[in-house]
Order: sequence, then structure tokens, then C-alpha cells
Amino acid sequence: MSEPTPPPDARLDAAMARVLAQHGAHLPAAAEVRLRENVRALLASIDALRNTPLINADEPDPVFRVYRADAP
Amino acid sequence: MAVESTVVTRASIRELGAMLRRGEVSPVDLADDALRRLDIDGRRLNAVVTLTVDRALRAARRAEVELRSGVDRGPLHGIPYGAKDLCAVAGYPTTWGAAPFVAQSFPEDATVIQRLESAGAVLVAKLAMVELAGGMGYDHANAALTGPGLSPWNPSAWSGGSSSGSGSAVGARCVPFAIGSETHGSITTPSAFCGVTGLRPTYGRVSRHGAMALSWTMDKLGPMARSAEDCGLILDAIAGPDPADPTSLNRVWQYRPERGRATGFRLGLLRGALDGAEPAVAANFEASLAVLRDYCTIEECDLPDLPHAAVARIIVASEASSAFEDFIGEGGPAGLTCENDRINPYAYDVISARDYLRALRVRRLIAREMDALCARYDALVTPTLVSVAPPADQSFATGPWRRATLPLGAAANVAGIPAISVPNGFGDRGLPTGLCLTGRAFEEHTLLAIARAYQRRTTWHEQRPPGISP
Repeated sequence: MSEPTPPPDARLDAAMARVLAQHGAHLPAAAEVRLRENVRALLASIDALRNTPLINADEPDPVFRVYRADAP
Repeated sequence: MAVESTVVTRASIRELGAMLRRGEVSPVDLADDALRRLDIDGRRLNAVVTLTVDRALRAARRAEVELRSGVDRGPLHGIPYGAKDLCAVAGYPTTWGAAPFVAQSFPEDATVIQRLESAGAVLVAKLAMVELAGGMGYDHANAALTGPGLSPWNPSAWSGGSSSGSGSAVGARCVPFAIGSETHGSITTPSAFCGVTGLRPTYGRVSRHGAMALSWTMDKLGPMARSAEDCGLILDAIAGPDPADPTSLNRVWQYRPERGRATGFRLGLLRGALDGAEPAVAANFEASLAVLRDYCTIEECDLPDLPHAAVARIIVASEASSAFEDFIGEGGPAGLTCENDRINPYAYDVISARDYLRALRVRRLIAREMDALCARYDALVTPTLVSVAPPADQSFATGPWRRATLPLGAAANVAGIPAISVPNGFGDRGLPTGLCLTGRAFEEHTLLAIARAYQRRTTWHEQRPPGISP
């Protein structure tokens, strides 16, 4: 069973906390409002993808090809 | 030069080639004229990063000797051009339009530069661009090492991006053509805003080797020029397989306009294409449809209902954050010009591997649905953008320019299918508007044929901006 989706703001807060923990040293405090807008926009895009039904056979286009140096 | 400089600025590539072969101008004359125009008009429009003077004059002199002695490399022989400054050129900086990379250089030319060299074209400049091709999330024209790119039609307006300098330099008639790149709108947008013809080829049609990687699965290089005919000649020189780029298509492409149809095309008109359009954009589009009806049949159709923009956003953000992982991790964005570029890249961390893979899986649905739609038509027809260029001194994240792009742009770039933007009139503040034709994968010939027929019936592509150098 999957975990319940947290309320939107809690999810946004958590995402912000993760970004700030990783990169906060590079960001002035004044940037936080804009960063929050950008994170919110990305989460909205992620939600749009999750709302698109996929089945098990819906695979991504292959991005890896087996390599052999002397292959024809 | 035996002909006036203004004649040169109006001429097509074939006309310039004829003048060269008749001895009315020389490749050195053309290179000198382009360098002079770039130094005056190009710099005024913030379109130039580096003039490649020594290389240009060497190549021009070589072309002069070759043409005189009967060595003919084809239609681009002796023709000057500029390249977006994300293409590596040995011996010159390759800045990617970004201050942190201002001293960067590479030991060899990008494949596209090598191919144009083999075709005898003369590189005269590395042209300005939005910093890091816009992959950090810019929302202002100031996102460029060389200052905001300016439209040759109204220098208070943005030139569009990210191939800003390529659009401005061709639009201002400094060079007959330029190389641009598109991940999501970066050829078609400046083409429309600068009044030039821009061709975004099928993904993989032109090698990306030696060009900055923003999004490996979405980046495309293509020509920006004075006409569809010129775009075809340029694509002929730069297209084709390249062992150095494993994503390049294993298909040879040759420009054969004489073999194509000139009438009888079937176009799909996307319902809602004019939603939110400025009145002049809508009026110009309706006028274009009237011209197209002279040689095409047009029927309404619908874009598949899928999250095109979300897929594009997640793929570009994921791949850009990987391609620039060290730069971002080390705080490099602090050196960028646009405020949002200094902040936004850190937000990319919220995308998980699973989100990226989901975007790639949904992408496949988009690719199939778009192919099914495009297979019914020779092209989909829309305005390139629903507004003219925004002012160069205002954010375009808000206000009427926020929704200038059409959903088709995201869908087509995600699917990797080709498009061409041609000038189709003027709107507010004397700024040009564009007509966009989007086609099925590998159908550049069809798009070029429809665009050529349109340009035979109109003169928008022949207009010259006021105020450019005599």
C-alpha cells in the first residue's frame, strides 16, 4: 500500500527543506521566495505526469545501447 | 565590391553564389561586409560575442582562390555565416553565453562547423545567446553575457532566445545565415521575433558533437536564414550521420527542391491555436491561411490531450541538472546574469529519478500520438507565437507575454519532430510575427516545400529592418 500523499504545502515545505539542505549555502535568504515558486512549479509538473495513466508496458524510449568496440 | 552592399543584404544564397561566380563580388568582399555590419549593427543589437576575423579572412581568401581556379564546393562556397556561441570553434572562446564560461575554449571545431567549412562557408562570428541556452530557467532578456538580445525591427524589444544573436544578426542582414539551436523554442522564437526563417530539424538530423549539451534528448541544431530555400541549402551541408554523435540519425539528407510538390498539400489547423493571440498576430495568421488555401487544403484538428509542457519541463530540468551538475553543485549559477538563473537550478533537485523516467514514458505516448496526428497531414499550421516580442527591459514571466508559446511547441520538441517558422507580417510596435509549420519526423522536405511556396506568394521574408547600416 502506498503512503498517503501529504497536503500540498507540507510536500512543498519538505521539498524546499531538501533543496536548502543541499544548496542553501549558495542561496541568499532573499532568494527563498522565488525558489519556492520554482519548486512549486516543478511539483505541479510532476503531478501532471503522475496524473497521466501508464501501464506496465509503457517503457521509455531506450537511451542505452549495448557497447562493443569492434561491433560492425 | 562591384555591387552595392545593400544588394548583398537582400540577396539569397543562390544569388550571392551567382555573383561570386560571375566575379561581381569576392568571398573577401562578403566577409568584410559581414564583419563591418556585425561590428556596427550586430554589436548595437547585442548579437555578437566574438568576431572571428582572422579565421574569416583566411577562409574567404581560400574560397576566392578555389572559385577562381574552378574548385566549387557548392552553394555555400564563399558565403559568410555566424554560429551560436555554443558551437565549439578551435582558437576562439566558446562562452555558452554565460559569464562563468567566458574564458572557455575547445581544441576542435564542432561537427556542424566542420561541415560548413567543408562546404566552403566562411565563419565570421560567434553569436550571442541566452546564458546556457536558457536551461537554468531564465525569465528576462538580460540573461546573456553580452546583454539582452535586441530585435533589429525595434531595439527596445527582445530578439527572442535562446538563439538571440543568430536571430538578430540574420534579421539585421549582417549575415546571410546563422546556426542556431533549439531544445524548446530556441530557433523558432528568435526567428519569429526577428523576422527570419528558421528550421528546427528532426532530432538527430544534425550532429550535436561539439555543441553545448543542455538536454541530450531534446537538443537540435538548425539553420536560421533569409528564406526556406536558403534553409534547405544549409541543412544539406550540415545534416547526416556522425560517428562522434551516437544520437545522430543514420540517414543522409540531400536538398532536392526540384523533386518536391509545389501544390496539393494537406494542412492541419490546430483548434485553439489563436487562444490568447494578440489581434495583429491573429489577423496575420488569418491572412496567411488565405495564402495557404491557394495551394493547400486545410482542416481543423486537435492536439493530443497529454501533459506536453510538464514532460518538456521535467526532461530539460533533469538533463540540464545532470549536464551541469558540477557547475550547480559548486555554486556556479551565482555568476549568471539573470536573477532566476541564479536560483532556479537548485530547484531541479526535487525531481526524482522516477519522475524523470515517468516523463520519458509519457514522452513515448506523446511521440506516438503526435506521429498519428502528423501522419494525417503534410504539416500542422499555427502562429509561431501568439504575441510579438516583449520589451527587452521587462520580465516575461508575468504580463501578456507569459503565455506567448503554444502547447504544440512543447509537444513537437518532446517528440523531436521538425518545424519551420517563416515571417508572415508585423504587429504591435512594428515587430514581426511568424507562421509555423510542424511536420512528421524526417519530413523537412515537405515543410520546406510548403514554406517555399508560401514565400513565392508573399514578400514578408524580403523586408529589411529600418535603421540598419547602408
